[in-house]
Amino acid sequence: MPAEGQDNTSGSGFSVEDSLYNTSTEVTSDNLRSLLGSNADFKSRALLIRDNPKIPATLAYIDGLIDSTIINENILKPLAQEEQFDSCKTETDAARLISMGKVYYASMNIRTNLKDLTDDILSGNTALIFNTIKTAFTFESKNALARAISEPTGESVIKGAKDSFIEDLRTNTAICRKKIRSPYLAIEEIKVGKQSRTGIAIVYMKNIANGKLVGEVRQRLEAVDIDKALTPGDVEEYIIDAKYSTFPQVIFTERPDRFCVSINDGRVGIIIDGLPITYIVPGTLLQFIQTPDDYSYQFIVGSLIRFLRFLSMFITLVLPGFYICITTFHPEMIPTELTFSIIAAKGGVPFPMFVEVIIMLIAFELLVEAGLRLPKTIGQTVSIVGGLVVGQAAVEAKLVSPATVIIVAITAIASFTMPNQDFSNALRLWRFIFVIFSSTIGMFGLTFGLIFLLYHWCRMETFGVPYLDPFVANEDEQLQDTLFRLPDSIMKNRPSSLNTNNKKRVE
Amino acid sequence: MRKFAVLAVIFALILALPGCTQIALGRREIDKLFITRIMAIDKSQDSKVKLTLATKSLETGGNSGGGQTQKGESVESEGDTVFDAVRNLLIYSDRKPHYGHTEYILFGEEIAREGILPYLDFISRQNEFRSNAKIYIVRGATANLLVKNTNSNKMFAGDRIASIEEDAKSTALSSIATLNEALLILENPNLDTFIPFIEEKKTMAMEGEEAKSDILLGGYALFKLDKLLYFTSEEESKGISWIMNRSGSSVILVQSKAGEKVSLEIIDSRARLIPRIEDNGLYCTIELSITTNIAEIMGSKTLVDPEGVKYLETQQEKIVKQTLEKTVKIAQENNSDHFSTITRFIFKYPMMRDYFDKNWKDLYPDIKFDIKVKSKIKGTYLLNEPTGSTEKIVGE
Repeated sequence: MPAEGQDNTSGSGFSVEDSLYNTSTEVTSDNLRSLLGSNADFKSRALLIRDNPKIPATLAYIDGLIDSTIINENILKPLAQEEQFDSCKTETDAARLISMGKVYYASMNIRTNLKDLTDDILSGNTALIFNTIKTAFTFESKNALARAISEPTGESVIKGAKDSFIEDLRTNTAICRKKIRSPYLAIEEIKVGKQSRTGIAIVYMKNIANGKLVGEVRQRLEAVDIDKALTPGDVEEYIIDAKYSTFPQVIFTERPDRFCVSINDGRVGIIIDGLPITYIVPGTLLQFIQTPDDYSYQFIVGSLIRFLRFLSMFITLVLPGFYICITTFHPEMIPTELTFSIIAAKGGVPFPMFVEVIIMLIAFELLVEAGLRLPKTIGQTVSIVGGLVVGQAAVEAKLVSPATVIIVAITAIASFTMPNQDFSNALRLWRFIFVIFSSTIGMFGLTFGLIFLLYHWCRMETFGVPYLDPFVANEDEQLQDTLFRLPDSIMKNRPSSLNTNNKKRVE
Repeated sequence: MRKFAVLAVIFALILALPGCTQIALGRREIDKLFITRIMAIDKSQDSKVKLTLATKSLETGGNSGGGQTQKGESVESEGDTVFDAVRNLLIYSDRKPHYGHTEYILFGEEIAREGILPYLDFISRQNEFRSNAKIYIVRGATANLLVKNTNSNKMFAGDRIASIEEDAKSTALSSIATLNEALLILENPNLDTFIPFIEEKKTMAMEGEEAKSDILLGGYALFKLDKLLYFTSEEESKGISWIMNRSGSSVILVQSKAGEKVSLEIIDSRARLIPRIEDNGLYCTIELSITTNIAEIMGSKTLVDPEGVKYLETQQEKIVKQTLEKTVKIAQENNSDHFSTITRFIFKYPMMRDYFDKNWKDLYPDIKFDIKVKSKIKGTYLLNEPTGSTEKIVGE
């Protein structure tokens, strides 16, 4: 529910950047016009209530944002036809009647502050301004500009809901309400961005989520001092703990079911107006490897698939480095016959193994990037060029050995199994670090790199929760839902690291 | 940032302090290595160490997808010591030898008779060798000749030896001796090792064609300390394999009551050495329980009835016992303890360990070995009676 009549953003750093946009400026149609009047889509018209020249009012709205039928039927019509307005002698009387509901409108705010009034108008409300009493009424008359709820594109699941979040904040909060019909579901809203004034909703369960966590999220969001919050990175960068880490610390999802499951666990959700993806904090390492599908399958199958994903995380991280290690430093580690296959494949290739691997990895990164940037219609070209040129021609021209192509291909396929793109990107970077370590000092370097990565993970904390939770610093047994997933009936507790108010999921 | 600096310092220290100067310099491209599969050690005419390294080279054939041709290639060098010869190899090869994949270490008969320990020192000292590399003695010729003659465009000696090893399991002719095992036994002056031997044989050739060289597994080369003593015959080899529980499945040939040849296939054989001391004398019972299946009856008169089977079992027992007696006799005659009898005695009489250790060479030839064979025939596969005999019964 929108926060009615109260200013959530007061004192949140809304600086007096523009003298016209001053909180102390009086609410009059002239002031409003001087602020917004130069815009082509700003419309305002003067009117008399019941043709009474003593009660003039000004109707103001942004054309395109509002639904004119609503204004005609529900605002203009009662103002012109409702006989009760005949008894009014002053604007004050009229204002009293309107506030008592003589205008047929459910959602109405009284504004005595120009800033609030402007915010309302710019969010698609229609304002009725009384100049003498310096008061305005705003009615929510938003035009449905949002697109329809569609299937999620980035996070497809086989079994599970097919709806996804859309760009409209209110629709998104409504989706959550539909999934969690508990009175304890809290949706707070604040505005972020000096220019964009983007609405951000903080969603959590009052009876489950730790109050300190919610407070911390609120505090961090309020402290965000930016111009605009239009792209995901705008807010994300400001609320995470370890800014220099490549690993993601907030979970993003476009799936309402996943969002609501996390909220139920005691995490806090963030919905940003204008973005079809939502955030969940705190995000720990495990969260980036799990998928909603793990819970839809029978638990043994789901566990094995999840374990496979862990394995592929390890493969995509380490395989190229390991390959360089064993071929240039420790050939005795390779099975004898395989050694000869690799040598035979390497025959005639002029580059050292390290260069070969780097060439192929960069080629792979280029292909991924090209595939993302190209329009869908010519996207297939990339796969043809990639498959033929990089794969076949490079091998035939003896620029790279087939074994290296296979190694990089396995690495690539393993990286595609990562459910979270942010996490996958972080692994991409670390993969290169491992390759460089491995090619310098072999297995020793690879081991050092792995220890360094572990050290990095161990040091990280997001919103007070260890990144490696529940493998580190957990109080009780919380390993039922980690590498494997035990049946739901066994997982009775909520994650202990979140320190929820209500610790038991099932009594 | 400070922590990062500390980590960097630790990293630098770990790198510098252990003295592993070869870590950073140890990078070698895999295709620039000579991956040694076989190492053959001989003595040259002027009493130097002659080293032959052989490997399999894989060369892709043509662009037309003609497949791969496999062939063996080898390099050789000489030196005053094994290490000297290894260094001299670098002169002859453009690739640096890598010993991490050395599967077979072959010794020529001549140096085996002189003692193999001096030659094993380099191998056990060098970090690249695998301790599970297998050792073979080459009978009759030098190991160098065997490798050179058998490495051809179509065959790599190492592959041939690998297939021999597979086959050895079904003949009980020999078993594998790894570098580690050999070194362990050579360490103990009271034990004597046995190492399989191979020899070069000319295969039968078609008319007009030159006979090709092939490698055959002969049996065991028995050692006294580190010196070669004796090459066992086929029968003696089987005896050793049985006593040491190293036979997989082999064939025992017996004659049935009707005088027909019957092949019995061993499906299970277990031997136990049970030592005891009685009246100040050392006794050792070798208990071998052997179970076979009738794999073949060459004739139609042999009947597989309880009586017939009993007869075959007795025959089998007799033959196995004879073989074992022969094997034990050779060991005792040469005073070489191949069966680790001393360890059995020490296990049973641990307090006498020092006594055994000091006097074993005097005690061993006088041990009374008592051989007991439990012989059993279990099955007959698809046929019970030989084909001809069944027809007769039906016809009657």
